[in-house]
Amino acid sequence: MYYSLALGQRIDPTRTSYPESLQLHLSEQLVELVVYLGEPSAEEIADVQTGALGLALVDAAPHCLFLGVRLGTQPWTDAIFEAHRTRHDLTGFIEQAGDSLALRVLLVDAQNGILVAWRFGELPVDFTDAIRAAVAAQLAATYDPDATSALIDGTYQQFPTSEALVRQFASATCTIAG
Amino acid sequence: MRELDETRWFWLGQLAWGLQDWAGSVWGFDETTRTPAGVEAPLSSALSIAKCVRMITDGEDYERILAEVEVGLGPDLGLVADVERVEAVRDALSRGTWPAGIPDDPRAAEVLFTETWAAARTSRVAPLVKHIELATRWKIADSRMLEYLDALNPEPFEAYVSLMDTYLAMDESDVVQTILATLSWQAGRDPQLLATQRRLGDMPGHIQVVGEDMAYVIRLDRKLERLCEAALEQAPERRKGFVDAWRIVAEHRTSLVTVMKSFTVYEVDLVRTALEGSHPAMPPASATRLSRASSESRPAPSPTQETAAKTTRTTVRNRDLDPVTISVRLRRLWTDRLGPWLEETDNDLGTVWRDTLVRRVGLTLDLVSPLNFGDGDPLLGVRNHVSDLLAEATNGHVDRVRVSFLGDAKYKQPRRAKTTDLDIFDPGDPDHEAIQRLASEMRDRVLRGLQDEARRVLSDLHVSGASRHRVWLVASDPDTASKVATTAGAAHALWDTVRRTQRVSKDPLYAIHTDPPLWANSTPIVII
Repeated sequence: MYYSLALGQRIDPTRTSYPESLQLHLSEQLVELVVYLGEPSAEEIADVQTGALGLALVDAAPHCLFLGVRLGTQPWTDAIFEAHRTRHDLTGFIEQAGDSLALRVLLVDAQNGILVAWRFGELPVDFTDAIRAAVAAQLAATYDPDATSALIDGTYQQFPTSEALVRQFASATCTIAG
Repeated sequence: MRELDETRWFWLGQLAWGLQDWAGSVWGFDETTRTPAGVEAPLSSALSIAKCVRMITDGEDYERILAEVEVGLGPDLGLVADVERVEAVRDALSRGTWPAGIPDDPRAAEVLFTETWAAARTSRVAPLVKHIELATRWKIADSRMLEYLDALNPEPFEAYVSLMDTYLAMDESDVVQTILATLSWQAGRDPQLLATQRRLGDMPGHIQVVGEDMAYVIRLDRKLERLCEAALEQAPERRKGFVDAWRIVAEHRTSLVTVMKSFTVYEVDLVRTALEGSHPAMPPASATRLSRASSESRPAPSPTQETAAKTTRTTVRNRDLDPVTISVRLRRLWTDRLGPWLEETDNDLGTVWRDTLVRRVGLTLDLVSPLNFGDGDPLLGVRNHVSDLLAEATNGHVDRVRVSFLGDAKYKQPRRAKTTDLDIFDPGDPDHEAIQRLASEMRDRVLRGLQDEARRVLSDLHVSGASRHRVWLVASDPDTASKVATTAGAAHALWDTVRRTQRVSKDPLYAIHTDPPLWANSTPIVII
């Protein structure tokens, strides 16, 4: 997924900028959150490294899922995951039901692509299984990019903040202590 | 899925088939299994047809109807909204028939199929997806309606066990079983309960089960309450058995309410009318109608017949009052006529009408009184008169009244942010005279330098109602109402007038609605 992973280095030597965003990557070995922030402040870095990490799954099967994320003192934000659009085979991820998975959080400066901070942990089994079930439901359905796009647009129109979305529709939540 | 849920979905599916059949073959779709998932496509079709009916009777033009229905039909039917389909609905209305079992009121029919679609969709997609589809595909904008539709369970009978099965499952030596079996046997001979059973006999199977169970529970609940009280002095050793039986009945009542919470408004109304002994507001479906080919038709609701051939706004029927107008009419009925009349006639409610909470629940006006009338009925002898007044004021949208006791909990005035345009009356809200004074106060506060055109527009707005936090303004026609927004200075002048009258620094609370009869009977805020 990345050419190298070393603090102070670009995560991809070929790219020097990214849009500010939150991305979720799922694989057989790892659940990874990549936070792209422009010139992250010391407080934001500390929140990634040691803040309490709140996670909330909002299932939008059969189209996609939203993962609500709250890093330390930061407000809720969310990442969209569409199983049909990932380049990796998710079969192994789905079939490991009952196993916990490693979690990696990367903070990347969106203005230069440099890895600023990271954090490692483990996701609770129940929460991981809830994500597995949501992903399996997506893969079991025929992919409809137009319907998915309409659903995402509609969701952001109806819920202007991630907190509102999480508060009303989170089907599984967990908190990982700092 | 439990058998009762299957019965229910079979019936709901049949209603959808009936409406589709009525509207004609252009609305056709492939037959599928009648499960919540299976009826989804027929339900999309039925909901689209119901929307067409409502919009045609509202006098909407084809362009708006097509725009509304096109999104709703969506990808799952393979149908597109076109003029041919809308005309098929118009032609069906013109024939003067209406499918059996479906509410006559086009809005009620639309609500029925919206609720049914939402419940069916629950079993197909995640809750968020259903929520977004209701908002974007079916244009449900009211957050309370969305919340209600989100919560509908497609299998309300999932955890349901009848009262009889509950006590039959007990040990035969259990005294509670004996008590419940004996009281049920006695209740089964009650002429009123037998009459309820007869009324339920024409209704769909799941309505019969819930209605009959509820009828038993209501009787056993009252009986056991009296037995518990009597046993205190007369047979203390038997009291525990009565108390335990009473608790089981109360728990069963709660489980029935849980079932009914996932019923459509129409189904709840069917149960209620059977229990109350009044005629159903909407006739039930024929239980014997099993195939599309043999579907019965009844005469179409008269409003639709008159408007079927025309699609202009001027043909809107009085029956199609918007919810805000219905609420304001009910408020005015309470403050101007009913309240003072109850007071004049020395009715028990008359002494506390200003302290009574008035709410609308579907077809019923709830009067929540601070006085506890116990088993007494303060509307005894005048209930029909009150119901007639309600029906007359709301063109039949509300035609029954219920009195309940506020309870021991202290009434709390709703905070400003919690009030809505649909509120009817809260204790302490302005009465008729106070509303007149408010209109006069508003008149004094209208900007003196207001341009003539804006002043002329505002002169057509009359104060139709007011609560502690809100004011309702009525226009004589929709064009005048819309001119408030389009005439320079008018909207701001109104905003500022209401703001200063309500003594708030921002966010004055007011609504403008259109209702010629109420307009004629209300006080202007600007006199030219």
